[in-house]
Amino acid sequence: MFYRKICLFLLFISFCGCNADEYSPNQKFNSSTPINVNAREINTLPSKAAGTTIKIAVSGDTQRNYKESEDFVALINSRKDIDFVILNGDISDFGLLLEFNGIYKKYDKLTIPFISVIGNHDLVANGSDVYKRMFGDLNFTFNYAGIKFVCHDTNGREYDFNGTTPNLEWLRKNLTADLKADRLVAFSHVPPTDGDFDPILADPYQNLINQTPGMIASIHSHQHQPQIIRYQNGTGVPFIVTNAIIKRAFTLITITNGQIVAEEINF
Amino acid sequence: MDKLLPKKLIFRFVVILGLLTSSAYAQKSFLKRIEPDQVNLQYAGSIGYFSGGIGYNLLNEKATLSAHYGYVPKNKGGWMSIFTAKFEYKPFAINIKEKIIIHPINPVFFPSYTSGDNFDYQFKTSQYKEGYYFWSSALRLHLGAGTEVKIISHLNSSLKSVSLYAEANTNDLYAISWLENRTTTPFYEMFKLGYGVRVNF
Repeated sequence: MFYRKICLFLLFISFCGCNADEYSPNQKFNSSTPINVNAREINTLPSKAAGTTIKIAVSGDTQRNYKESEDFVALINSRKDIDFVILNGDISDFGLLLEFNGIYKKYDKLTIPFISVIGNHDLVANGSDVYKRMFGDLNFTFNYAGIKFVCHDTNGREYDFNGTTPNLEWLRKNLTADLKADRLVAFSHVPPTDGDFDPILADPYQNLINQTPGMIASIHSHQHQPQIIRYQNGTGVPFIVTNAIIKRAFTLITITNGQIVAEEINF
Repeated sequence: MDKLLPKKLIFRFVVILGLLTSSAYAQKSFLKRIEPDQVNLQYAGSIGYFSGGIGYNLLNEKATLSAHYGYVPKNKGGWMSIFTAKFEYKPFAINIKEKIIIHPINPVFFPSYTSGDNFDYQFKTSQYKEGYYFWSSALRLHLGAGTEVKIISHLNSSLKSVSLYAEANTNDLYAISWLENRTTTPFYEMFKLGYGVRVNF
């Protein structure tokens, strides 16, 4: 009986052995970690004519809620009208590879592309390096259906409000329409009205968004609250803050000819 | 007086010799006391790509307390330096013909500390309000179990035995994640493995 228990334990250990050698919970990657997922996903976006209606499912804050993430993926896969998914930051909770990998495995089951943006929790410990290797740059852009999507890091508190984040210089260069895309949408985790946004950059940032020709909306997450839409001075470009996956909610963005509709969907 | 001189000299010599030997003996026993009972080399197990350590037997060799230094090179997901203290309890021993002892299941507890700019014992209070992030990024508390095969040396040397072991561990943050995801994540997924060799003196 005792020997049988030992055999079972040894079996358990060897069972764990499938890719379970770990050098540290903080290691930046292991032999099975995917690389440059954002670039790969962007490459799989089909080409779509400018001005046609597109639908984007946006939500952040999967953190370590695998069940909610799984249900979200199943719901999106059951609908055939959505173009792509934005995971708008806080992919992980502790900035650990295990968490990034766990969420990646769930989202990789989506039948449409998903693009992931950096959140404040993703910058904890070695999280920034985990994200860069797994997903790519913290600030990046891509075009779809005549719209330029500008994804960037607004997690100012993680840099101790040192005036570098969001990187306004990078934004000035990239918040520009080009030949293929004359309209723009920005995605970032922390909204400029939040306490975790660098206070000295809040006004210049909102001014920049509002002064960008062709800007449709700036879309954020982070607050785990029902969707809200704010305007800097009551008018101009809408700052949309979505609810969170951990609250079983996402925002369905519909854009037709530069007109945007944002609707919260609970699941 | 003259007759006493050799006696005095002998007496002095004996005293000095006595002092020397006793101090040498004291030194030897001190060294003997701090001399580790084992040295250890481990692959993986969440405390480094490779880690090395020294350990001491406690509770009549039913437990060991050891200190380890481990590193993760850049091309394996680092660079990181990790300091670990391990307490291992060995409740069962199966003796096979006095040649091999199997410790089938040794519960183990080890705090590990990762050094570096990205890691703090506590998140800075100047940067975050209290409780913003509740955990420590540098300090992990690991809990696990090992299984060990000890091969006993019958050579007349100071080397008593060599052990091979495998160890599964999880840590505080993995356990929290698993607890909240019990319905979707299998229990074994939060356990990570390491393998090692231990030389016992």
